[in-house]
Amino acid sequence: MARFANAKAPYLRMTDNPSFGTGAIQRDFLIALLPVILFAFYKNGLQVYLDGNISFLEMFYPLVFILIGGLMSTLLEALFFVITDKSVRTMKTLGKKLSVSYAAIPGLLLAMILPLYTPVWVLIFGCIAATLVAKMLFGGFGYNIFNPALIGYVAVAFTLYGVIQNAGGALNASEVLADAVGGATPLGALIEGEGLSYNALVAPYGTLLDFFVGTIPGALAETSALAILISYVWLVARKVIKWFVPVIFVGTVFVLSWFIGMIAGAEGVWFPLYSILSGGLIFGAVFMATEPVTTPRNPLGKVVFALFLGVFTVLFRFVGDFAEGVATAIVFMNIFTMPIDNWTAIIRSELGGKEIFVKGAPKVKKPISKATIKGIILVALILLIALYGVLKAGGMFTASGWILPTVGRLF
Amino acid sequence: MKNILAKHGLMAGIVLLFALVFVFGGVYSRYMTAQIEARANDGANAEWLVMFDGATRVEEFNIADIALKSYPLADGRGDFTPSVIAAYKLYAGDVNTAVGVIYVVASYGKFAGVQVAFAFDLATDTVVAVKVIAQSETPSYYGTLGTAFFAQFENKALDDIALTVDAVAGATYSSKSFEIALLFAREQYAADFGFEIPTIVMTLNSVAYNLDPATFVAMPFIADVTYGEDDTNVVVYLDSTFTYAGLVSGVEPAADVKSAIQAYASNAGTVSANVSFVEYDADSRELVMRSRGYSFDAITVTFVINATLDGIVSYEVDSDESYHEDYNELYNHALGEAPYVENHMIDQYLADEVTIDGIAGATVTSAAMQKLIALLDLFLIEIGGGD
Repeated sequence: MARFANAKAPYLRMTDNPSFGTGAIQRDFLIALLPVILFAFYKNGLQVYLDGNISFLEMFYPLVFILIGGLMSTLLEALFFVITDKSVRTMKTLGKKLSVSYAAIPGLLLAMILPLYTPVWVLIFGCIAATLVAKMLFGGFGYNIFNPALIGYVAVAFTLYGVIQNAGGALNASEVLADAVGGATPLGALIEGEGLSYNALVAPYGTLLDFFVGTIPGALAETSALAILISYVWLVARKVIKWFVPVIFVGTVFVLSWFIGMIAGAEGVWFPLYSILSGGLIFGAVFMATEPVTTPRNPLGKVVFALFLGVFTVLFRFVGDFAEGVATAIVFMNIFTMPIDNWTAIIRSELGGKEIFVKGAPKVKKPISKATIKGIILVALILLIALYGVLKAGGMFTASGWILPTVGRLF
Repeated sequence: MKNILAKHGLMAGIVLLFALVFVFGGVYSRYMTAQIEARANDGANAEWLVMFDGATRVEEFNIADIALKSYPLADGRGDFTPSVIAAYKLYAGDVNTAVGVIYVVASYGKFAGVQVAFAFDLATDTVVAVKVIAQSETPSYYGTLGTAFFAQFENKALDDIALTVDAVAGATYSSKSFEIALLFAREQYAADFGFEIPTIVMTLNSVAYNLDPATFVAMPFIADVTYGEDDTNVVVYLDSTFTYAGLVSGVEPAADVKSAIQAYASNAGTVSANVSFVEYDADSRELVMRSRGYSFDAITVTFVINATLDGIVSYEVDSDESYHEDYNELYNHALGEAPYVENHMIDQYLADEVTIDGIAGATVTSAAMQKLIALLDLFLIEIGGGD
């Protein structure tokens, strides 16, 4: 993340400047969360209150839930510091330590991607997994290899999903009364085998505009593409994230879903749009896939990383048994952050440099470089996984066509 | 104390704060869960209330124990034992006497279970509403059950012996599943509210296909029954829904007897409404038959019968069956597309095979063709003594 001033020596590292350091990045990141949090409050609190389905005090629950997530993460981190670090046993030192550790963020993000009616003890369990296991045991802020919030999410989703469903799940008090919704989120409807038709997957929730605005059932704060888009613009403008990472991630899912839709006979672009606007894809693309610590640093690495995220999301979503595939894809790809960074750095340095020709020197036939081989391997891997995902998923949803489903069966 | 506080105060404070957030958050979250459960219940109750005009309150109740009862599925596909999943009493205003009752019954359609709710009026012993709660039937079949089909249940008197409704072409199995559900709901209703189910002393001696070309299209079945205390015997024609259609011999029975004949004949399972004659031209000796397989449109076969009326000269199959489609992995695709199975089974019959074997992956089509061939065989025996 180090950025340098474009001037003569002596150089001042920009991260030393209070306006550009990690502190500024985290501040900008927290500001970016505001539109999403406010929309979550509007959709799950204010609007439900205005519908007459909850009381005034119940209206604030979405905000309280998110705050509890942030607070619990902070307290857990504080406890960890006090127990493990003798130098951090006063309020002053602890406060200083916490202020540079951004302790609240994993819990905040975790609460935002969980269903509204997740019991608080489950949220706390997730915070423990996120803060203590995924962050502090790896050395704290800057040293973690997995996205802490997503480790918390995966821990909760894989072990306590039934508990969350029994406690009320994702539908708010207005959505639970809607007959058409049938108790399922849009992605849930897909995994429940509703078939690949607009009437089964989109119509019960309104139109694709509702999907874009975010007035559809889903996790607490990840339904509104509109709110996340505002956050995206802010983060890009503040140079906190690279603009192309979410675009490539979402774009890959869009294109592959389009292919799946075409194979399955879903005409038009409604299916790829449904695919990117439902679940936590856009939230994950903007807030998780761009996380600076656990994702590649060089631009080519980010591109490769985002492409892999796209293909794995499609694979996990449409071929696996779980409705959502974004969190699993990001956590899975976190493992490969360092190799991708190394490989793409080599590719960039070898293929990106200018060749210097010496006049009169004999032309030497160059062997295929390691960088080329590595590049070919990466591209082939992405294409193979994408092809497998498309054919397998397309075959699952279709009874029409014969070439692609037949090839799909080979896998 | 001061030392202890200085040493451990911070940790104690954090732990205390942690506990406070845990307790406060836990209480708030439990409260919210209770609220959403109540809201979901309100939603479910509203679903029941709309089934009964004037009902303002709904209350689940424990049903009386009754003996399990099996009913034959459509087309002799075995028996099914339905069950009542839930039962609700409906109240109007503050009066504590129920005005209606709803039974949610699990039945069985073509390939999957069906859950259907019937609302009965306690004052008139009639069905006032029917609502499908869940079904996993193939949409193309189930979709044919339109509002006209369900309207047949409304205002149906429970003292109708047969409680049958007209099946919808292309969805006879699904149609039958609702009849089964209603019959069992009536059994439960009788046990819960002292309703007396009408009965009639009757013996169904036989129910068979009508093989007379002059009448077999309009009246495809003939039933022979003995009823009443004086063992009155009557042979009657029945239409494709097993409704009384005419007299063969004896005296025309009363309406309740006709209804009972319909109930007995439709549940007998010895004949199928899914296979029938379409027409027979005695001059050209062309016989057109139809049997319903998997597809919405039935398989139609035109046979040309030989001059001695005891064999087949040629045949032609018109079929929209879909067993050869790519998604049907159980079918051996090397065999070819429809009507391979249909032709193959007729060819077995023409080759005098004793048993007409079906084809794996096309079991529904095979069963439909076995029925058609069996009926053809009966017809040939009837008109020409064919074997």
